[in-house]
Amino acid sequence: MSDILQYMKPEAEEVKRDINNELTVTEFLALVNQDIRRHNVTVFGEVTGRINRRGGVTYFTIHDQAEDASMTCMGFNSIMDKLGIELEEGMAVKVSGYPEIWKRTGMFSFKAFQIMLAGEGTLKRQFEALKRKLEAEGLFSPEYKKPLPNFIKSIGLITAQDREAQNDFLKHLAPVGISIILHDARVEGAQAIVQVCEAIEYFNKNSPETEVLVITRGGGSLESLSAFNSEDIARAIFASRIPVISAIGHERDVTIADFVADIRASTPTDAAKIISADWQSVPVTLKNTADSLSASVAYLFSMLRADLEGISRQLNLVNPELRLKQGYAIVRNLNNKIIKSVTEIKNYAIVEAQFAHGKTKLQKI
Amino acid sequence: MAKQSSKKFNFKKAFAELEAISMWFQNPDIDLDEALKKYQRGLALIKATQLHLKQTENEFRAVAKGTKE
Repeated sequence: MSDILQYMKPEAEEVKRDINNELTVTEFLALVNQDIRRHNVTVFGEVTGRINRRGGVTYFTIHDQAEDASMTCMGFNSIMDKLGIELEEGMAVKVSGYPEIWKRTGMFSFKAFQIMLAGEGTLKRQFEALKRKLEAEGLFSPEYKKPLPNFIKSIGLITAQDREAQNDFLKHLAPVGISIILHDARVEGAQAIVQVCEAIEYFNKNSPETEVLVITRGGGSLESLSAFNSEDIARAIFASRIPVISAIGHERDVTIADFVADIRASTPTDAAKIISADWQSVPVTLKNTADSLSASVAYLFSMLRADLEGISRQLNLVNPELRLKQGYAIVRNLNNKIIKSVTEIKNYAIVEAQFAHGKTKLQKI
Repeated sequence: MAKQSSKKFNFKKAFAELEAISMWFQNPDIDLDEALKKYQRGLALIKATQLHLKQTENEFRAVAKGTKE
């Protein structure tokens, strides 16, 4: 991103466009540059001739074989390095940038702010080179993978608006009050890298409630998925504070973004299912918890009942009435004092005996 | 759109409280009065959570173009 801003700095002041106004060479070139810089485009061609790396800048020529047309391009080495492999003669490239005349030589050149390689073989080489580089730096290491929070309620969705990937993702997400915020981004072509990086940055800066980012698009050729094999997107995913799920293409498509992402989903539908998984288990968990609470309380009551029954049995054992039923009697004197020994009763004295059923007076003889 | 009542409901908080109640019942030595209170609270949370899930739909919106920069 900073490379692009560096290129887009205005250089010249507004110059009067009048035939009678005599301009210096500098003023004229500034005027021309003002006009031609507006052609902010992506140009497709094949690298031809020598590739010159001078200081911090690389010059190369791209060629349109069908029409035999050529133009010189220049790019800062930081941009060339992002290719992951050396630019070589014969490579098909898509160069995004704008034209400019360099005032010291009056030479036309196309200033690149992004170069994308094309062609299956070249892209595979680029993929392998970048994979080796980022792996060596530790960007794929499990220790950096952020876990997904439980019961996700807020998702930042990065994809092309109203396309199939968006619909598939939304359709398979559990309907449990999840807030999905879409950041529309191109997912193919020269703008994809910039827009996906911007979207990742947007959520990280502006959306503290977002719990996960889902970057998704449908399947395609290696070339159409090439944005997701770029170093910029890989580094933006790695730098994200918010965990990232990548869901790029079909199951068979594996991109560099998938290796860096915290979780790789095989398809947009799969990403929705991963997020929904713990929500889907909630009804069963709630039922099990209700059953478990009821069982705990029932057990407590059964324990209490058993304790009460135990106490009751012990009390029964010492209940005097039980003894009376067994044939024992309680003897009291006329003052209602219990007599525990025959020596306490004088001869001919009258006492009262209590049986299980009734009382009677007795006399000692 | 989710209903007003379900918007205010904090699912994660309710679920965490429910888990804590379940854990509390695993203690070997628990007070019956406290157990009854927690049991009632647990059932209320389960009911509220079930209701919340039944009433809720997802909300989708796109970031406004002007706010992207």
